[in-house]
Amino acid sequence: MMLKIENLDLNISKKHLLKNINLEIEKNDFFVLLGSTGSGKTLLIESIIGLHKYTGNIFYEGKSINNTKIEDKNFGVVFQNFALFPHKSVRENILFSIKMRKLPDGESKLKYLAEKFEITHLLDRNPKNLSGGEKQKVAIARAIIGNSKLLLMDEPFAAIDTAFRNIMYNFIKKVHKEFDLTTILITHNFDEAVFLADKIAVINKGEILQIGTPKNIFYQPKNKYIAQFVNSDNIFEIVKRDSKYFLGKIDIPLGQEFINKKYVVLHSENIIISKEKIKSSARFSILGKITAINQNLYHSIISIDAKNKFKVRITNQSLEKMNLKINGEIYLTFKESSLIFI
Amino acid sequence: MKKLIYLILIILSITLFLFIFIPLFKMIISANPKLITDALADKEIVSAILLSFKCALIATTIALIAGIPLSFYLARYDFPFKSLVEAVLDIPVMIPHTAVGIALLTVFGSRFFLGKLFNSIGIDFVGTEFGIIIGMMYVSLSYLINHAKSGFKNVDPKLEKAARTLGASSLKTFFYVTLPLAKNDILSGAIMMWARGLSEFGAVVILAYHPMTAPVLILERFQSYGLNYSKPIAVLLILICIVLFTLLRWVNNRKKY
Repeated sequence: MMLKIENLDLNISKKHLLKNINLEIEKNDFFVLLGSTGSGKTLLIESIIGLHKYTGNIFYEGKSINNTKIEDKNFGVVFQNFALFPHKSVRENILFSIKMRKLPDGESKLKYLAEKFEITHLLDRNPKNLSGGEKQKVAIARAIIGNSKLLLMDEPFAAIDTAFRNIMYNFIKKVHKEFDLTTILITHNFDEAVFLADKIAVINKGEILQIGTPKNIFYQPKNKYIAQFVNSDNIFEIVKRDSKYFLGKIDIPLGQEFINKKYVVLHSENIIISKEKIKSSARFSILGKITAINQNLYHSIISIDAKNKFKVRITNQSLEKMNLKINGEIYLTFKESSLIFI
Repeated sequence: MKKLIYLILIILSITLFLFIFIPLFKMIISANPKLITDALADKEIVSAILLSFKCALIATTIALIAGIPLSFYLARYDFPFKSLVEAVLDIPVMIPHTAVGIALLTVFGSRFFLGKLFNSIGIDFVGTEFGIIIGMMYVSLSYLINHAKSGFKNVDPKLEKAARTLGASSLKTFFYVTLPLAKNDILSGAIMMWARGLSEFGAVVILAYHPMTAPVLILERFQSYGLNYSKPIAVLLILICIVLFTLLRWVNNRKKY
């Protein structure tokens, strides 16, 4: 076990900001803390670093670090917007921890990292003259040069152009593997989390709501908030009418086994749309009307009103082939087994 | 319409600049050069100017040592009655400086507690350089405190947090990150304080008429010999200040990261 958090609570100015946090992070895990703005994810990372006085316990490699000074923890931290020192060159930034901790072989470590990260040509520049991606590389190099084994990153992609994010995702994954790191990364972006994480913890209002693999979180969200947060397209309330349970306003009766659940999630990839009714083993087939078509470069999102409001993603090629138009009628077909009850 | 607004703004800015510049310029060009060179040869004038610079420099140095921690504390932490503390620190620039002199005299005069205490270790504030220094310091300290405070406020706390995670203790973080980043504002404040201190008259004249600082000497010459004999000292002081402070500002502004 690399890091273990037990019953952590954080109160600042009489506000209960982190509530009974329990986490276990294994060595070499890529762990993502997923939550919206103000959910408490940065506070949690800052508590691990030692910037806040919390109650509860944090263990690092089996030893309590509750009373360890920040500077003695040797965690590599990449702050949001990178927090590179503007009065120091890239070289001085990267060597900062070597200087502060009086570590040997600073220059050779710098040379190795600079070559590995392809930033040798940037070493004598001022950080303000770097692009977002370059800043991120410098911040990571600075964080790990002192042999940190735990890397904590707070929204590292927020300051990077969307076009370069994929490159940086791969870069970070590579660094995580090659340097044998355990990484905790904060993000509000589920796609980012899916790409990077071995495990995800969803946090909201200072509470961990669910911990699991990306697949686990996506296909078995514990509640409506998580389902919404992980971009589930279709979330319907389970409605009780005449002692039977229905899928929202649609007259599809559900079995009694879902009696204690409140919502149904139906992922878009599990819905087949067609102009003619499909005769198949699929349980449900309903007719709806197209209310909107939102097309982007990669795919189209079709909004359909079939008593409940549905969203279905299809390729632009399919959109063209099917000749779909607003106000046109369309059949939605899905299996009962694809319904996720939460 | 937009052009008209720009024009009005430019005219207002130029007018304000000229309001400051013209009296200084007029004074410099109307001074008899012979009297200025005579003033430079006058030992009393030179020593008064040097005394002003020296005392203001000592006052600024003391304020830098004591004021930096105070400014940092005010910028970074909240505590009860903080606004009151900040208001008290601003008071010296608001009240008449002669009143400051009298207030200081009632505390540091030889008949009062602090005065007696300092007297016992051989420091007298009345009619000495010590008196000039505390007078200058009292009236100009807020310039340094406020500049330094705003300098510290402008340092992103995240940079300090980053330094801590990279192995720097809080003291090292202050000296390697916070102070260098607030340096320009602190130096600006120090320059302002020094400038304000050396031109101080009101508080200084109450505490120490002698030894004479340049502003006191200007008054003395004006009262004893008239305008023509006081003007060269004033011109000389203004010229030195303009050259010195332009140079300091340039050095301070030159290296911004």
